Amino acid sequence: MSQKILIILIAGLFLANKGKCQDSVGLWLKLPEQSNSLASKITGERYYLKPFYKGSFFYHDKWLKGNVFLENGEVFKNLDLRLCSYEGQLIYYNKRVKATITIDKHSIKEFNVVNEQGEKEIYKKIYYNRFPKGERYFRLLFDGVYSLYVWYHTVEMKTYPYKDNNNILRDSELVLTKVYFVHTEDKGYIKIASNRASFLQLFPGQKRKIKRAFRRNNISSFAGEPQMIKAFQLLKQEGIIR
Amino acid sequence: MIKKQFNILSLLFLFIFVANLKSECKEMVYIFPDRNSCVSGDTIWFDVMVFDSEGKVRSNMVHVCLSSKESSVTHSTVKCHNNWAHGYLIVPDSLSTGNYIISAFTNRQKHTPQSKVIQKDVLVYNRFDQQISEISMPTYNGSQTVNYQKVGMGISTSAGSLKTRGMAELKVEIPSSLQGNLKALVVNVGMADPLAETLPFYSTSAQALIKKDTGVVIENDAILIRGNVYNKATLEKASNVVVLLSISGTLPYFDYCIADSNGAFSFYLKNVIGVANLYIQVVSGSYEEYIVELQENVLVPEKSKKTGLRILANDQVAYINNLIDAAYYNRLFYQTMQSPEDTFSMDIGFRYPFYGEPTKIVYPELFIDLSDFTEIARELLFGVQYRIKQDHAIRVSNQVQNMLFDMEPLKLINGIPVFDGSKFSKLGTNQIERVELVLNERYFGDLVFKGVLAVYTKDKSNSWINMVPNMFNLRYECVQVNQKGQGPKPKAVGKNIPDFRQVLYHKTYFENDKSLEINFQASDIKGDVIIEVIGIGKENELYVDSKKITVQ
Repeated sequence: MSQKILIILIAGLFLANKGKCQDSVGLWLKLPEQSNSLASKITGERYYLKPFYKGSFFYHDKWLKGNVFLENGEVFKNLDLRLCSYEGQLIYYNKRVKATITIDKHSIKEFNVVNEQGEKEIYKKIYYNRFPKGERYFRLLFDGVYSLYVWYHTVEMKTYPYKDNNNILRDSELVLTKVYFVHTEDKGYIKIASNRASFLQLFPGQKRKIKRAFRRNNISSFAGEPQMIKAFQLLKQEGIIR
Repeated sequence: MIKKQFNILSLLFLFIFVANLKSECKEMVYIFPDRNSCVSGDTIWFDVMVFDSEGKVRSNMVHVCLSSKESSVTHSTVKCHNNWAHGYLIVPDSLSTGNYIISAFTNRQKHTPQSKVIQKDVLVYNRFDQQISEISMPTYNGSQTVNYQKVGMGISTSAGSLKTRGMAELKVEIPSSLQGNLKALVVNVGMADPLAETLPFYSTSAQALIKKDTGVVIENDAILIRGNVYNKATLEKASNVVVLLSISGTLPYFDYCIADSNGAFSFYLKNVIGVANLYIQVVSGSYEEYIVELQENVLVPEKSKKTGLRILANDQVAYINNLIDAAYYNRLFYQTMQSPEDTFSMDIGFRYPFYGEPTKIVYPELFIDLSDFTEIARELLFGVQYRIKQDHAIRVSNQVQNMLFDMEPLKLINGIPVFDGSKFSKLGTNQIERVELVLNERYFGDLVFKGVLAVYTKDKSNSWINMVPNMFNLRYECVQVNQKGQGPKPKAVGKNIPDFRQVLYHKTYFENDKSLEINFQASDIKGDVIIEVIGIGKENELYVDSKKITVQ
């Protein structure tokens, strides 16, 4: 009988302790002095990894080193970054607190990462006032009077049923889409398709010149970013754009 | 063996040389006050120019400090635009008669042991002193003063002497050798103090401003706040405690610093103007009480400077008596300048507060009257659990995982962190303006917040903090409000109102003209007026000329 009372008493004490809330201060006090920084701090919320799908939520498969430029003019260098093209958010891995953090979009002006090929990818936060309205990260492909941007957007698409790694039957997959935009001071952001017709439509007065330039330089495919950049470089060479 | 020792020694010398080079700072500040002497309670207006003899100026915040031989008296911080700033120092009313020093320096200078600071001596006469017959004056040797060139600036006036309140035309003809070679020209016209004329143009402080290099921080559009935390019981430096800084406001400011082994902490406030009400909290794992001390941006006086007692001549005594009388009448007819205490602004640069975009904003007064926070939490704050029985425990839900967080959220009242949930208990609909909720795990630098509950009260006095242990409300003078266009007291408008201006004209010209034509009006004070023209060359060299006229 006394044993039972003892067990109930211990269990009661345990539960009482469990019920009492802990403060986050305990976590703060574990921080090293290296957590100090005179610069303003990176703010964001925890990024939770979602269930596995066919495809990836991220545009970047791995953590890449990059710099983040904040709206208040401050720069944070050499961070581990990944672009979550599904949510259109920049994810950062904070090594000190071992957490993946979605950096507040309102605080970011632009960021860049060095990809696995060693190329620097520059992303700018753009307010797009057409559907869907909002702030997006556009990658700058070509900078000039006519600037070329690409918006990476991962969408969920229906597909044939398949079983994922956990043996769960699924019927959707994640697909990366690329939407190209040309920006000029006077016209703003114009959506263009990755084909020759779009270029001709963009510069209606110089159709013949563009056709000739593409023909002479054997540019017939506009399928990816390198081809689009090449096409813009060619237009600059020909004096069609500045 | 000897060769090896020689090599080691050479390397050592090379290392010392390189280390010295690294810490050397050539950034300096010229200060141009509008007067060399004043009466206690007066306002000294000044212009400052920051320059770097070896490179680009990197700081744009200048600290100006008035100090006696023993301690600092008053100070201000001004922000430079194109390396120039304009500001003022209010000389305390109770300051005793004596020789004081105005020093102007940047934080970069202050924290570089080898740097020199340019100083200007001023004489302050206490306005209650009846008969000043002697005064302690500094004595300088050649190495303690700054060199300048005496160059004829072609100063001419429309008349050699003036009547009281008479108008004068002043012309400055810049010599051809200096035309196009001047950065700026400072023109100062004021009553000539025979005693102040014996002071050097500039002196320098070669003293190491700090005992050791604690890391140079360049203040650019920002000011650095440094301080120390001590254990209240033992007075030992408290290390590894978290120091939180909050500034209450519509968009509250928040920052944290983990105190180092010396209990030191620092914060870097950007785009701040005016006098800030800082709320500093020390957070530790124990129940111990702490003391916080902020370091002021002042210069430690150089005690090695020699002074000697000077017996004053009759003309010097007469001038001082006149000046004190004039100050008395000025106080009767004009308002004395007060520092604008309520002015404070801070551009945080973001749309949302440091805890991010709120998930929900609730305005309790839009609903029925609820007497306390328990009812508000239960009826209006969905996702918030407030339990009085468990030490006023608060928990908020994690909307991503659809469950309550296992730890307490960051609780704020008017943007100031609160660690005692009971502070909320008496807040009802009548007291609360709005409640902002963040139902996510938030990160601020390396700090984690398991949700955020931010309550903004209608009463912004924050009187509740008085009872909070380890919470300190400190008034901190940040950057002086831009006083462009402001200057010495204006001229009297009527005949019946006395005009006892000591400074008749003070302006800095940046246009590199061949000549300047200026009009100024004499005041009611009789005596010598000194016209001083200071040219600052492109290599930061100084050219000085002066002329005296009499007011009869």
